[in-house]
Amino acid sequence: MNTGTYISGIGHIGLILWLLVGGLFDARPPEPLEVAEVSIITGEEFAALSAPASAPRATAEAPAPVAPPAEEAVADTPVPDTAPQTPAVPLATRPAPPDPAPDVSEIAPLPEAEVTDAAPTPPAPPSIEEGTTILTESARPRPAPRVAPAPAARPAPDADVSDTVKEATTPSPEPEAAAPPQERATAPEEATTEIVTEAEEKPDAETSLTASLRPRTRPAPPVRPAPAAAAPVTPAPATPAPAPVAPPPDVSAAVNDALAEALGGGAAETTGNGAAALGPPMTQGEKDALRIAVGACWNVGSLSSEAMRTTVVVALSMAEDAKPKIDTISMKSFSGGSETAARQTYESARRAIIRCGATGFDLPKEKYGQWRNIEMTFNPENMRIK
Amino acid sequence: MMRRILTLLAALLGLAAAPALAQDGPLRIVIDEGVIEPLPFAVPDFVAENAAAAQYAKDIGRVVAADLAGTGLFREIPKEAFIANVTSFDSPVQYADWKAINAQALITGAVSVDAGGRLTVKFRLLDVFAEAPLGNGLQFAGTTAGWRRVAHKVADQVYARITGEGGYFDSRVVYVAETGPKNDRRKRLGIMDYDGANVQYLTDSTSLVLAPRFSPDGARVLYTSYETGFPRIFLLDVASVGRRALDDQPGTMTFSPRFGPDGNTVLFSLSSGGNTDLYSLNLASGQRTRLTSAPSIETAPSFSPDGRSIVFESDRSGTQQLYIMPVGGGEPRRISFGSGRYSTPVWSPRGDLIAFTKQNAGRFHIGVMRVDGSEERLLTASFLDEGPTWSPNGRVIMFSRETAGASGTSALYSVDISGRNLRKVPVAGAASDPAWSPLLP
Repeated sequence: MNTGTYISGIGHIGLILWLLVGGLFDARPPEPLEVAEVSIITGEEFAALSAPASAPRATAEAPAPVAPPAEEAVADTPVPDTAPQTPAVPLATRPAPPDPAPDVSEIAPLPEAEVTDAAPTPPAPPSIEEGTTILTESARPRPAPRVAPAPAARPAPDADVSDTVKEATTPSPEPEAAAPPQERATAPEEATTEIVTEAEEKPDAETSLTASLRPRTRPAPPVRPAPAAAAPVTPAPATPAPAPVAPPPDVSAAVNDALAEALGGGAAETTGNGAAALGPPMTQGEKDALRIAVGACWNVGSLSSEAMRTTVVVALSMAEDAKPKIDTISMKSFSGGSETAARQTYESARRAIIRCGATGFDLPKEKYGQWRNIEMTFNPENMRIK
Repeated sequence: MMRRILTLLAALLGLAAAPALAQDGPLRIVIDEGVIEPLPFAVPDFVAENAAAAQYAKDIGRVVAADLAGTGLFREIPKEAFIANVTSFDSPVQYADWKAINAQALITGAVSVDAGGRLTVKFRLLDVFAEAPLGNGLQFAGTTAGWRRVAHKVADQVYARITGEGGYFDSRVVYVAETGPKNDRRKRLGIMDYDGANVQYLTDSTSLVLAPRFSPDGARVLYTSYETGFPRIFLLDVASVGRRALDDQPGTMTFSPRFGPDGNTVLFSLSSGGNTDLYSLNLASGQRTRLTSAPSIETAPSFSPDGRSIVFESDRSGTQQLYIMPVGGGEPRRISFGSGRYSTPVWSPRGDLIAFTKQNAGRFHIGVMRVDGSEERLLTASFLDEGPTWSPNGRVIMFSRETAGASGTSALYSVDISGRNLRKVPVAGAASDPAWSPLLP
């Protein structure tokens, strides 16, 4: 009880002392004032200043206008017009004779540049030496169910104890040691470091199916045996049997092949005449993409009118990276214009192929055989001003 | 039965589809859509092979670039974009550096001036993407005073090699130079390079002159003068500025002359007794032949390039229209049937088109049409466009355009026959009635 009183008293005393000594209630020194100098004017002067501007008073006598001095005496009688003084026009200057016709002569052709744009030869892959194991991404170990870095050796079979006693025999002189049968080297038994259960095993992306084949609505009809080309002649039976009805010619196989082609199988897969190496045929969309890509670089703005009427067929070969082989670009034929005009059209076409093909055209690589050789027909007729 | 029919149809369908899918030979595509845009080219400064050629090397390169860019068919790549430069005419070209800035054509050259003031310019045109020259290198030699002609020659060669048609840069234009206000316009004949440079005057402005026309060799000029108070045809020699009146018959007015392709025949209009008809005049013999005899006004004749036909304007149908007739005479055939009035026809040097002035709905146009009157196209439209003249290669038309109002003036313009690339020819002062010369020898 007393402790609290003491604390409260001490606190109050300290507060009072801080207020007295700390100067909390001291007045702040006044801030300096900005004083502007003014001048005192009288009321009349102020009224004169603030009154609206009054109209200027008219002077007693306006100054009389002064007649301008007559510069020239104007005659009252008209005089006939005189011919205007036309500025002296310089006579035609004799133009310099035209420059002499320049001499034209051919000069030596441009020497071949020594600098080539050929890419440096890529480093050769390391040669495969005997005993060297080559790991590739596609080499995948087959699964093994056992966990062991190496298979344990098979234990020796237990010895059987015979019931009969046999005398010991003396070893006969050893015959010539027969050559031990040569054992075939076999691959070590497979092992793995952990067991992967079937549930954990991921499907093989290369071999597993991502979608099941849709079953056919109807099974394929059984293939009937073809009738023998030369059937043995059998003697006619005594009673004439009804003549066998000749089976209708079987076109189902041909129809199936044709339908397979029409539905996307393609001749490349069915004909078997070597077209399989070409890959599947180019779709119309892929052809259109190539046509648009080349057309985007085909600038005919600088062609002559005759060249705009000339159609050229350009043949070229493509590299596997879908870039044109420049040295194979050639004009195969032309129509509609002179050879000079065809050359202009061909050069514009060649520029288009090279320019837009510099980074490679967007062509399906699996169909390289289809676009290895291309013939492009450039026809500017639609862009001609008629 | 039905099954057999269906089977047969399916077989036929399959057989029909098979050829479409089977690919025989190379892949074939047809490209009939391209782009129409100026071909980008680069002209690095020509190499000066000696100190005296330094300025010429710069100037010639600039003129060549201006010639090509002025056609609208080419676009110059600015020097600031160059990665490489050409310091020696015979050094190998780094094509990759020019491909990187998409220069499709590269023009390199060198200039030298010998002690006698003889200027020699050699150049090469290179196809950058094909990495091969377009034609052989050429060199031209001339005087230093004629350096612009040499530059135009180089540009003509470049133009011809890329487009396949002849150039028109080394040519001149004769025109009517005008001074003074509209109500007191003074006119005299001027001659200049096609690009407005090297202006010289052939006549003074004491008398009104109109419609100058070049001879096929560019050495003479026909024009109409009012120095006698009436229109009269004069023949002027460009080199000597000497002139003489043609067919000076009292009581007649002659105007609208034009040379024939042989350079010896002159077509013109002669007005006598209130009637205007076409005549031809043999300059060598002075023989005059009347070609038309109709009560209507026939004027503005122009030969076909082969010299067999004439196109002219006539109001025999009630309004000004264009007609074609054989040189030897015959019934004229009307070729213009559009609305409005047609005048000042000029046959193209190629022979395939006829340029004309058309007035319709209060506007003037420069247009072209086929010789049979088909495929009419109007290339310009303004307050007053008139007087077309063809470039030597038949690709460009120059004409005069006058602006409206009391302070309106005339100026020369050129336009491609496609209707693109309308440009004002930089001529000091007002100008009208241009006539393009043939390509200079």
